[in-house]
Amino acid sequence: MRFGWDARKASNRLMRLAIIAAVGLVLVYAVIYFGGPFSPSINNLLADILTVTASMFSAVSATLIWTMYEKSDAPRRVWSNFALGLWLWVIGESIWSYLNLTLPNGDVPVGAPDIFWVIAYYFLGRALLLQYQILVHPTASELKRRVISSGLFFGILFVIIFGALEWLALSSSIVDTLVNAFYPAGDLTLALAAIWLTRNFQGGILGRPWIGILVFTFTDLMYAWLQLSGAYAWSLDRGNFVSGFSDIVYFSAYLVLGLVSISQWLFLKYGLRSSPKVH
Amino acid sequence: MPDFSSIIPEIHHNISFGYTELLIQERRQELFSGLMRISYPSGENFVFLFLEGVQQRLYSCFERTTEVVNRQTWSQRLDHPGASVGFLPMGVDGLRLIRVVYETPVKTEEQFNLSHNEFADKVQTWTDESEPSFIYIQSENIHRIYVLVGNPNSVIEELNVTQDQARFSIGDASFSRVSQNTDYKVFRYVSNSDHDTWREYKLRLAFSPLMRMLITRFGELAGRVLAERLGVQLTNWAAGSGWNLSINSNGVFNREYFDTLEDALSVYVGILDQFRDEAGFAVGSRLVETMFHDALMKLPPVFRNILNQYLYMQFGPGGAAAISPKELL
Repeated sequence: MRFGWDARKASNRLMRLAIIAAVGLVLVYAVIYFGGPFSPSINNLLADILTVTASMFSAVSATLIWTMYEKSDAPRRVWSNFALGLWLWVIGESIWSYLNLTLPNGDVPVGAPDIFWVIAYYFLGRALLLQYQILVHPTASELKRRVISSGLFFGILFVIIFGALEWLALSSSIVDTLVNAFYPAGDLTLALAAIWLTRNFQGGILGRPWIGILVFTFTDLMYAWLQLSGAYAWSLDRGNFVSGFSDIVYFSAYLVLGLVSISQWLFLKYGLRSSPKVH
Repeated sequence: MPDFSSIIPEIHHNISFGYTELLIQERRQELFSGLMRISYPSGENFVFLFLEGVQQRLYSCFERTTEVVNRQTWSQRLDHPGASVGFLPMGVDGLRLIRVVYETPVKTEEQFNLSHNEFADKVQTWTDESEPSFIYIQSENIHRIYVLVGNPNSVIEELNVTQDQARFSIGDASFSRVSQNTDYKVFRYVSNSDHDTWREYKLRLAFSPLMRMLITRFGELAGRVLAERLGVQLTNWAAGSGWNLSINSNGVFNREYFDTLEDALSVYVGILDQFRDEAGFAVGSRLVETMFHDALMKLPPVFRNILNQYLYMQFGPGGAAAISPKELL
């Protein structure tokens, strides 16, 4: 019993509350995006604040999971890396929002936020690899093979995308092209690893955050594509439906990631599903 | 196994059937656990097995064999005057050992007079044999019974009766190296593992490491706190169903005396079902099935076979697939 509540009821109430809050935030975001109820600068400010808030929600949720594990628990290392990766994304989002609000036309070039976003992939990848190690107990050579094959997959994708971008001359500089080629390659690599983990956890609550990261990588891919194709609108007053849809999905993906992480945290905190069945 | 009820000291002599009944009644009231020996001038010998005041079994002991007396005929068989009665208190572990010794068949019997070193060498040889066996040792005032479940499992259960006190312990063949440096009169009885009492015995020995591995693996995936909570859930389930077992990351602390193999199976299957439900909710059914499979493969063949044959087969539709004979090789 906590605060006079039954643990399961408390868990269900908190989860319901989180879902209602998340749906409310998506609606508010959509209204701001398509309705533009305030001046363009205020609309932009609110949209950016909401995105940073959503990314923070996912990072806080992952950190909460990390706090539930004891020092000797193997999953603790998974969640320290996962939470660190998400906190780097929060920093990236914050810098991006600041630049988006302060630069002319809100057009944010490749730069400071990308440093944090790119480094975050290392920690997220490490979290996935640690989770793989816990699940499979690979030998040193098996682990080495897995790391090399993932690296190769990422490398080949990166080279292909980089080549395509150079050929299409979609990016203004070589650094832009490198960074823009990194995201889709990184997203697809993470997505494949997340699919493998999701398949292994097959419905288990502890596998939900990997579904969250899977959703996020696909929305990030969509965002990367729109940005590269020039369809992305940097400010709400110049927005279009595709750009708006992408932003809302991107925003929602952070919330989904936060919600699935919260559900795992609640599970770790309030325990297993059923009260004992007596036969 | 031949009668060894003489290790139970007699304290009442030449008493009537009414007084025998009174003594039984007293043991019930004081929730006695242990053995009660009743012998008659005719040479008939009976041993009652009490667990927490409840008479579980009555054995009729002959010189070379023992039979379980049908519950309906207990009064009839004991209704004679001139009985001598004695008691030997012991816990459920000792009682389970006694049950195995009394109820399982004996194929061959050997007798040896061995020095300490010879005995140590012999024990090593006997533990390597595939068939289960018992060893009964007499030396001065000490009586010891060892149960060897069969190669390659090295678990040896021991009941040591000294000065009217029974002490149960569990160990391996190394016990023979630290035994007293004296000569022994040793009786060895080779049994036949194809018997339900042996199956129930082996299942109990196998179930504990199985649960230890399952909970440890769950802890690796979900963390120690959740693993401990799962142990509590399973223990609560067993307690709620009236079974005296507790489960944690060290395995199963089994204080239950199962009357039949079927009783034991239903409880073990129930616990595994609960584990699958609860753990599956956390880590997914696929991982749980892998956990069952991997845990089974890590157990010694003697345990793996019994679990595969009796537990995993009954383990509900969609349950952990039994391991194929090819995999067991």
